[in-house]
Amino acid sequence: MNGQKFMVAAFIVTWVIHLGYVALLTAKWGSQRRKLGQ
Amino acid sequence: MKKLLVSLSVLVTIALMIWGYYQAMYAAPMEATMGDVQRIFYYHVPNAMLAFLFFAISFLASLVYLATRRSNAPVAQAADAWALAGAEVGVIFCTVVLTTGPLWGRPVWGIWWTWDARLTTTLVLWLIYVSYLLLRKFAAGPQMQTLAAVLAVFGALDVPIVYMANRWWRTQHPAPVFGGGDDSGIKDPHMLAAFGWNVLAWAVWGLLILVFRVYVERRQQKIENDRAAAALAAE
Repeated sequence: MNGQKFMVAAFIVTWVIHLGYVALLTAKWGSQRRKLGQ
Repeated sequence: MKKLLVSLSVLVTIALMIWGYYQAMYAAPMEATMGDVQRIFYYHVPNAMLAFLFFAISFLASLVYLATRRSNAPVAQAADAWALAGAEVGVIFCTVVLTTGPLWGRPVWGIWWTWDARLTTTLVLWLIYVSYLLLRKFAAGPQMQTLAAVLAVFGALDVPIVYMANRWWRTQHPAPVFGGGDDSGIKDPHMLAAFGWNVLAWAVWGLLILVFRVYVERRQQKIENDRAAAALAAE
C-alpha cells in the first residue's frame, strides 16, 4: 500500500475548502467596502 | 501600521504553511505499514484540534452573549461576532476533517466510512454547527441571536464526546495519538516535529481567518446599525 493519490487528493481537498472559504470571505469584505463607501 | 501588521501576519502564515508542507511531505519519514497515505495525518489531526478550539471559542462567546445581551449591548454584539466566527471557521476545519478522514480510510481500511462512535459524533458535531449557521442565515427577528447562542452552547457539549469517543468505546478509528495511555504518542522525532510544525502552521492560519471573520462581522453589524438608524431618522 502506498496511497499517494489519496494523499494528493487530501491535500487538494484541504486547500480547496480553506481557500474557497477565504475567497468568499474576501468577496464579502469587498462588498462591505463598497457599502461603506471606502 | 495596521496594514504593515496584517501584511506581516499573512507573510508569516504563508511561510509557516510552506514549512509545514515541507515537513509533512518530505522531512517526515514514510510510515512503514501505510506508506505515503499516512501523511494525511499531518493535515487531518491539526484541523480536528483547531475545529475543537474554534467551537470552544464559539461556546465561550455565546455564554458571554447570553450573560450580557440585556445589560451590555456593545459587549454582547462583540461576543456574538466571535461566536459566529468561531462556529463558521470551526465548520470549515471540521469539513476538512470529514473529507480527509475517508480519503485515508479508503486505502487503509478498505472503506470510505463506518458508523463508529468517533466518526458519527464528529458528523453530528458538524451537522449541529451547520444548523447553527443556517439558523443565523435564514431566521429573522430579535430572538435569532439568542437562539443561535443557545444552540452553540448545546452543540459544544458534543466536543468532549467526540474527543472521548475512541477512549470510551471500541472504534474503527485509530487509538488516540496523545493522551491515550502509556502506548500512545508519536515515537519518531521527525514525525513528531512534522506534526508540531503543522499544528503551529494550521493554528496561525486558523486564527488569522478567525480574526478576519470577526472583523467582517463587526463591519456587518455597523452596516446594519447604520441602516436601522437611517430608517428611524426617515420616519
